[in-house]
Amino acid sequence: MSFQNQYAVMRVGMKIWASYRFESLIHLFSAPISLVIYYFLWNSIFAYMGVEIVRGFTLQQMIDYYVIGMIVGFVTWSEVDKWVENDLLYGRAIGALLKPVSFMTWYMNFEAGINIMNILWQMVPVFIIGFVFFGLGLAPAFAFVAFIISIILAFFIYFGMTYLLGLCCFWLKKITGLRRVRRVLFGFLGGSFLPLTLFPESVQTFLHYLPFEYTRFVPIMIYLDTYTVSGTIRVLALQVMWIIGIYALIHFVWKRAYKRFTSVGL
Amino acid sequence: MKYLKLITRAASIWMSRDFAYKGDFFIKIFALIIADMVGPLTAFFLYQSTWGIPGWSFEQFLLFQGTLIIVFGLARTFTSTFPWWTLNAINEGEFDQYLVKPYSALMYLLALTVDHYGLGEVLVGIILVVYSMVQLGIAIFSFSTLFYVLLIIAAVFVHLGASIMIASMGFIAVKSEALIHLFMRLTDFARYPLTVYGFGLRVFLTFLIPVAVSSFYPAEILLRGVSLKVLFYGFVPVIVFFAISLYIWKIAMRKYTSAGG
Repeated sequence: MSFQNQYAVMRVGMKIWASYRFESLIHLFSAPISLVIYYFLWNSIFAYMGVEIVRGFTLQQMIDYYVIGMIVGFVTWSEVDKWVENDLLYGRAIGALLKPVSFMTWYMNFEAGINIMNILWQMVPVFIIGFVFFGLGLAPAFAFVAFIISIILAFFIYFGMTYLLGLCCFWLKKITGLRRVRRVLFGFLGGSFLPLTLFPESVQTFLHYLPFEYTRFVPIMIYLDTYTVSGTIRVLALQVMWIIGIYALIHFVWKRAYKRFTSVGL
Repeated sequence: MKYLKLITRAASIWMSRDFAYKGDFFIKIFALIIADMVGPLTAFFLYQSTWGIPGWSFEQFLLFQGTLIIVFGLARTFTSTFPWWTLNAINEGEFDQYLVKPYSALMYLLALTVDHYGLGEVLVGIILVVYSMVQLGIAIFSFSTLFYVLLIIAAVFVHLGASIMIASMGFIAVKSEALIHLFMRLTDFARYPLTVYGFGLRVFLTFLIPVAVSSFYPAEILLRGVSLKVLFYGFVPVIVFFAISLYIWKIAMRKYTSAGG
């Protein structure tokens, strides 16, 4: 598929985004609310303990963690499970399958379009809010470049996992319940509520073998410059390996899902 | 009474609709329980690696979170679907039908949009609260518990009031879905005790948008006993807030023009 085709689909996503402009504006105002909450929470915890460092985080790093986490969240945002569910439930999937683009690629570009708009209109303001109000520090050049690469890889991992969940629709028909838990669970295991370094050792070790931390925790830690150069390259390589693994699995599942497909709504 | 009948009828129809997808029905209940356990689990990890929130032991904070889960569960059951439903009806130009029913439009819509899944959350919250009360040695049945329950009801009225305001804005500005997100974000403030915030935020969360009553004030009553101050902070802003929301709804009804948008 040529880039032109991909770009055309991205444009669709951008247009959809544009129709929700008002919403995005409100999001822009409401997004920093959670930063304010974490700011006060950690301020009080650090003051209470009277220490400079908690599990390797200074107070400023802790706040940076949530600011950067929010930015990573904008890039990795995905609702592909919802699109897939609706397509199948209302019998619209045949339209998507007849497009000269694969089912997944279409959605991936569509969401990339939405996310590009999110990045332009939300990521930049959050960065500015972070710098001005929360004292966010600029990462060193190498860490910053690695961070950008890492969030793009994180997008593919998050999208792949969400898409796999969407494919469950072919068997379960409706996945509203799973979708509801997906956001919270992916967030929790990825470290968006609490840095994973604050989890018990055993849980941390366990999470190393799961893809979730590569969608949020790892990019944030790269930005915070906590890895050595070789360590950064290692986690980036691990992200790539997860992408290969997840998309191989998608290929495998899709073949079976497609066989079950009957085109009527469910 | 006629509304109670309406609620049960609507609930049974929703139930049978959901049962068409049995797998999803059970996964949904299971999923809600898991999603609710994330908060307490986060708290557990937080208390393992730090001293936790100043002035709150782990069990106390668990009671706080259980209260929050109860309130959010009740709010999901009785108020959350209502603004979505109403805004959708306005956009599609279908709102007229609710005005010609032999019920008050507001009550009819509220009865229609009861989402029984929230009750599963309430159950999780009750279990958490009772567990931490036993751990802390607080009597389950006491004078405090009575006010605790009343404050929880008041908290649900805050969510109800906000939902009514948002739905009313739909009549005036036609598109107000984003306000739902904004309010949901604001309720996030209730996830941690009021004591961690600064003075300005405390005033804001107690008097202007009284979401603090979703968790902080009920927990205070159970943990530190009934006091006139807490009762005042808990109830009075809620009554004012809810009265304003009803007033806005009234204005909205007068403004309604029946055109879709």
